Amino acid sequence: MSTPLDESEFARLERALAARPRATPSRELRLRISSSLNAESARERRAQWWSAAIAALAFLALNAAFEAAPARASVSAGELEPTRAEARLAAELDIDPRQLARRRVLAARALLTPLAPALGVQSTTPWTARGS
Amino acid sequence: MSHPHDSSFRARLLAGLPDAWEDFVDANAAALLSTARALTNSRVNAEDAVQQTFLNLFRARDSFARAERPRAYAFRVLHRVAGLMRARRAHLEALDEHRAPCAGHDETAEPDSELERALATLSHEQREVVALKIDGELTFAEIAALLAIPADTAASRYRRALERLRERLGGSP
Repeated sequence: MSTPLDESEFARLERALAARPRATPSRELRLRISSSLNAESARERRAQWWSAAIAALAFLALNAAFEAAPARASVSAGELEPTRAEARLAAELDIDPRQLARRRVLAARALLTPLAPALGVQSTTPWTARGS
Repeated sequence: MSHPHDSSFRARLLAGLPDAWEDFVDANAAALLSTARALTNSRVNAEDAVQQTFLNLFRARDSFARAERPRAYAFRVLHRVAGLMRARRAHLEALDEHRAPCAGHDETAEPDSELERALATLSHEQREVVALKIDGELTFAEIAALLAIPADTAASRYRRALERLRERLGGSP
């Protein structure tokens, strides 16, 4: 069992510990750190580039699919019921809210119908997106 | 930690600017390395732990640059990295009790000074608290949060470590 330290011994030991020579990072270690940070930074930039490229391609594909949809494609009356967000936006744009609902339904069909078989959904029933 | 409350420096760290990270590494590598040596008891593993710590900080720079105490955040990361390294090493050694010690497993490396030799006789828990307090300059509250122990326990562990050092040094550090 150690005898308790008095405050002056305590302070002296703390000073001695604080004053002892510290480990000095070698030049090699600094280079390793710098190299790993640079590699990580480059990896992040590549990931951001690919992410932006994929988003742009997805947008282009969706837009092309929408443009290719028959102008008079059948959309049921129930699907044409605008959501609250669509009604609000339509009011701001001063247009018929059903136009927005129709675009939403057609875009969702264009995007999701090709995925239906993979998701185990009967592809004869085009998907719709009932916005919330 | 360099410029802990300097918002422009934090912004540069957050942006991942190379010169900001170089400054940050230069200012803090020595303190982290000293602490890592105490935590891993190995020079080579300490260097690996410090490198991994900077990499983890860079990856988590969004949280790190916004931390109230970036220094405490960095040492928390180092502590976690060192803990994982110790666990991995123990696991490998348990798999093969008869294999030769792996590279970097240099607990037998001779300490440079009487004080370092005395430090080497402390238990892992005591060395850990001393390193975080002296090299990391963390408060007992921060050490307690990091080690998941009450602050009073951290303080008493530190005091017992210093008492043991005094014994080893024969009253003259």
